[in-house]
Amino acid sequence: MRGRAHDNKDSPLASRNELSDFLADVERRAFKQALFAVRDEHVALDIVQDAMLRLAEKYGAKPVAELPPLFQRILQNAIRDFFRRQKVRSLWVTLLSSLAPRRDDDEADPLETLETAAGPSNQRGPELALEQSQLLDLIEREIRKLPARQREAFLLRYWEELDVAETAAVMGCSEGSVKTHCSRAAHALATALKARGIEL
Amino acid sequence: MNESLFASKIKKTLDTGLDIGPGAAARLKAARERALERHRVPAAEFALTGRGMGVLRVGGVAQSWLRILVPAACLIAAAIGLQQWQETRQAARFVAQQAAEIEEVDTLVLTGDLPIKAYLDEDFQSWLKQASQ
Repeated sequence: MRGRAHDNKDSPLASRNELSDFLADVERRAFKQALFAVRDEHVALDIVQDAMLRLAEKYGAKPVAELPPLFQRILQNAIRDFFRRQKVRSLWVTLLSSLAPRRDDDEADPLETLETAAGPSNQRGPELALEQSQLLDLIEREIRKLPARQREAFLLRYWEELDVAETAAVMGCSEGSVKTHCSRAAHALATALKARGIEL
Repeated sequence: MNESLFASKIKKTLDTGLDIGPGAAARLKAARERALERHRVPAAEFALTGRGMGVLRVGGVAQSWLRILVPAACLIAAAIGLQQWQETRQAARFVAQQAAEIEEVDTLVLTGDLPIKAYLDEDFQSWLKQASQ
C-alpha cells in the first residue's frame, strides 16, 4: 500500500513518527470511506478517531508494514459497530428516526461543488476543474449507492491498494468473494457512468 | 472492461476529492495527535520491563480471562441463588399446605357430633374402613 513493503516478517516496530506518518497518509481516505458508508460527517469523524485510537493503543507497536491491513480491519469493524448500534437504537425510536431529515449528500447544493472547484488551490482551467469536480461528485455518489460489501471490497482493493489476500482478511471472507465483489462494483460503476455518457 | 485500469482511474478521481475542508481536517489532526499520545504507553512498557515482559504478558492474559470468568461466576452464583430461593419457597409452601390440612381435620373433628373418644376406639376405626369401602 502506497509504497509499503509486503515482506514484513523482519520489519522493525513502528516508531511514533512512523505511526504518525501512516495515520496522516491514511486519515482522509479513511474519513471518506466512513463517510460513504454512514453518510454523516460527524459520525464518520468519530469512527476514524476511534479506529486511530484503537490502532495506537493495541497495535501501535506492530511493524509498519502490518499497520495498513490492521487499521482497515479496525475501521471496517468500527463502521459495522456503528450500524449494529444504529439498528438497536432504531428499534426504540423507529418513528422518530423515520421523521428525522436524512443527511444525504445526494441533495447537496451544486454551488458548493462549484465553490470547491474554483478554490485558490486549483490551478487548472475553470471548465476542466468543474468537469473534474462533477465527475468526482458523480463517482462518489455512485460509490455510496453500491452495496456495502461491494463498496468495502472495491475501496480496500483499489483505493487502499491492499492485495486480494489482505482485503479478504480485513473483510473476513474468501479471496474469491473479494474478486466477485470488486468485479461487480467495477461493473456497476462503469454502467452508471456510461448511463451519464462518461467512459473512463 | 479492464477492471484494474478502470479502478485506477476511479482511484485517481477519488484522490482529487481528499480536500475535506478545514473543520474535518482539524478534527482528524486532533484525533491523530490523541492516538499518538496513547502510542507512548506500550513503547514505555516495552523499554522498561525487559525480563518482566513475560509477567506482563501473563498479567494481560490473566486480565482477559478475568473479563470472561468474573461475569461467568456471577451468572453461576445468580443461578444457584435463584434455585435455592425457589427450593426454600417450595418447602415453605409445602409446610403451610400440611398445616392447613391438619387444621381442617382438627376443625372437622372438633365441630363434629361424634365424641373424640370414638376415634380412639379400634372397633370404630375398623368399622369406618369397612364403611368407606
